[in-house]
Amino acid sequence: MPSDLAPLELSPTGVIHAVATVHRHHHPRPETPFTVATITLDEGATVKGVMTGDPATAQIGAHVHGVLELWEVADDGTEVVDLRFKVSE
Amino acid sequence: MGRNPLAEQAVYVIGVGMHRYQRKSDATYVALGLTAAREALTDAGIQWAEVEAAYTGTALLGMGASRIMLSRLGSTGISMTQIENASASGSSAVAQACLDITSGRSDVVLALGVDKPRAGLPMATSEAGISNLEGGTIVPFTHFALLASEYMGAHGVTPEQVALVALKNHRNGANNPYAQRQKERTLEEILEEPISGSMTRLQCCPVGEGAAAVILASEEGVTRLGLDRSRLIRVMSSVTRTERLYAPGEGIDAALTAETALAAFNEAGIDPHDMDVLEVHDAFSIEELLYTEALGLCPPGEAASMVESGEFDIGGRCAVSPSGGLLAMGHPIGPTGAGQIVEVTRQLRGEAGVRQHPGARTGLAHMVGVGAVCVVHVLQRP
Repeated sequence: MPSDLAPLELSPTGVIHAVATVHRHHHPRPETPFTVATITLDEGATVKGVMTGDPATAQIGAHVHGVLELWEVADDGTEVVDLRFKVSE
Repeated sequence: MGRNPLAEQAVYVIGVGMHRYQRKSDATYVALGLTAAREALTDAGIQWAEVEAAYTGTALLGMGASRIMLSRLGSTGISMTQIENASASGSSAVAQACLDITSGRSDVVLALGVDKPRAGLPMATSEAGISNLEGGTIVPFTHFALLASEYMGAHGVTPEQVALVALKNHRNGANNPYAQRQKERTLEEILEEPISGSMTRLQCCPVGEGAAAVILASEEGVTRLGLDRSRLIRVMSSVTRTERLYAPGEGIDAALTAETALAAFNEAGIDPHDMDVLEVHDAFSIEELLYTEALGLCPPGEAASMVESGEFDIGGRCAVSPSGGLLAMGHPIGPTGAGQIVEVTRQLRGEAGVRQHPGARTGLAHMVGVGAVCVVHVLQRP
């Protein structure tokens, strides 16, 4: 990595900028329909992610935060989690 | 930016040909490509032996596609090269053909696009060692569904207004014998079958098979071949650019389109408002709105009302995607960009039949592709 670049940890909080509910997917998981969003993080960066919780609340302008959800349990019992975004109360 | 070689050395489209875009069939790519190439040779009124170089735009066929196909026309020993530039492969074949001619190397060059759908397509982007936060859930139709959500939210546009792009382009495609989708649709039909966000099946392009061929020539080539000058269409500019780092919130494909088109208009010395026909990369309905604004045809947020009022219809202010565009004509990948040049050429010659935009003299072809890359050609009847 060049010396003038450094990893930056960003807080997983932000605001929904765009949202779409996906009805067709080339993998069995996540199961359709699922909702994805473009999120402007409070610290400036824009990311895209999968939403969890009530999809009706996932509207442009809604505040969201990141949560780690169980994706699968491996054969050796290891729990694998994945990042999701959830509309904040 | 460098100089515009096309301003110093004229390059003309002298022949065009197509194989219809269609669902995957038993036809070999060789049969598809030769149909287009032969039609282009016939259209130009020249023999294969006159062609001095060939560029084949293909993204899906694998190594070495050109010679085994084109040798059926005669093993003349000419330069043959495959061009891969994702969705813009056919556009880039045309761009390379122009460079070949302006370099002085060749006077008569074939640019051909041909592809067949293929499962398990290797993508360099997935081999780059960089994984996405969304873990593969955001495929192209969802990327554009998110852009549609953003556009509708920012400009107060409805899903029905965005869908009018597909209504128009299916109407155009219904009159195009080379289109994969040749059926006029109602707005109700367009709005059926949701795929992602407001993007429905008929607002997403079909990816099938087909071929498109364009033969280009220098002034010297035209003279040597004794061609009818009244059917010549001049390539005014050919610009290829790739994505830069844009401001947060700026749409990559639209920003890239804007700067590529600006360079192409400047090099051609033509104003966007002088465009009569435009073939744009409408793989998804929302893209036509984003790109017609990025091309400078109307201010941001106004493209939806332009479509609604018929300004972009054949016979309107300017015809956008008179072929049916990617949405109805189809997007077989390799051929698509070359097929746009075929349509623009027919329009500028006045040979587009029932799809003819009256008085068309100046046209543009625009493709974007994974990368992101963007290729814009401006053409004009001299």
